[in-house]
Amino acid sequence: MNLIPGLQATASALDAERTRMNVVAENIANAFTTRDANGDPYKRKIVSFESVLANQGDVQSGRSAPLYKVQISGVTQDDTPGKIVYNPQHPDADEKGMVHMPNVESSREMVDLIISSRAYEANLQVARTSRQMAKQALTIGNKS
Amino acid sequence: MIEGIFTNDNYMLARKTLDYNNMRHEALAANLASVEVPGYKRMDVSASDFQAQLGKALQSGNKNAMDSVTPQISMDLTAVSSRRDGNNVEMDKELMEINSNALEYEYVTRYINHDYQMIRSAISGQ
Repeated sequence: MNLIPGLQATASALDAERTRMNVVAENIANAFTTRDANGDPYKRKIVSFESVLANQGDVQSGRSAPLYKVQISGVTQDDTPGKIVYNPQHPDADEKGMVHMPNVESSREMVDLIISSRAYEANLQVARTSRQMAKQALTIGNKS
Repeated sequence: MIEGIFTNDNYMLARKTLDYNNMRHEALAANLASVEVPGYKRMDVSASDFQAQLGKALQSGNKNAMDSVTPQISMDLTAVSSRRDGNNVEMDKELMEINSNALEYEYVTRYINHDYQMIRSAISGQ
């Protein structure tokens, strides 16, 4: 048993949410990038989460079911085509004057960002509660 | 007399309840951590199960019976999923549970402290 209960799962979630916020930030930052390293328009990236075992189910410690933490299962590319706009002055325009824009929609990214930051806040609150519980346990036997 | 205090029913119940709250916090923290994982099913420590175990140990009158009481983490079969990804964790509900569980923990630690305080004042006589 750890001194601070539940910290492993909370820490993994904070880590995962922060990575997701980083990726969303990258998407928003590149919303108008028409040429990446390969010369193509930027493709939106998606983060997906998965559960990994944090604690084996163990009858000895009273755990009959395993506990899970979170990890990033992968950052994948969204391959849906982006908008094509007419802008003949643009250096990346094709011979017809059309420019292929990235498939980033800022409204969708903002929603992802809000969900992510809410989840981050909630987990931070749990970390605070965990610390409070550990402190509380340490007061046992103190002279009041 | 002092031995009587450390083996008295309330003190031993309080000890076990601390274990229960600690373990429940771990389960609830894991639930909240997995709020965005598709298909995750929430875990919990069954209060009624734990209370039944405690009651049985109390009624047996055997002091050692209490030591064998262990709270168990198991999948919460009563939770229903309202989300399309099959995850049945609700963030606000989980936070509420975590807070009330932490408060319960604080209550029990204070209770134990109070027990000690009483022994201390009996020893010092003030």
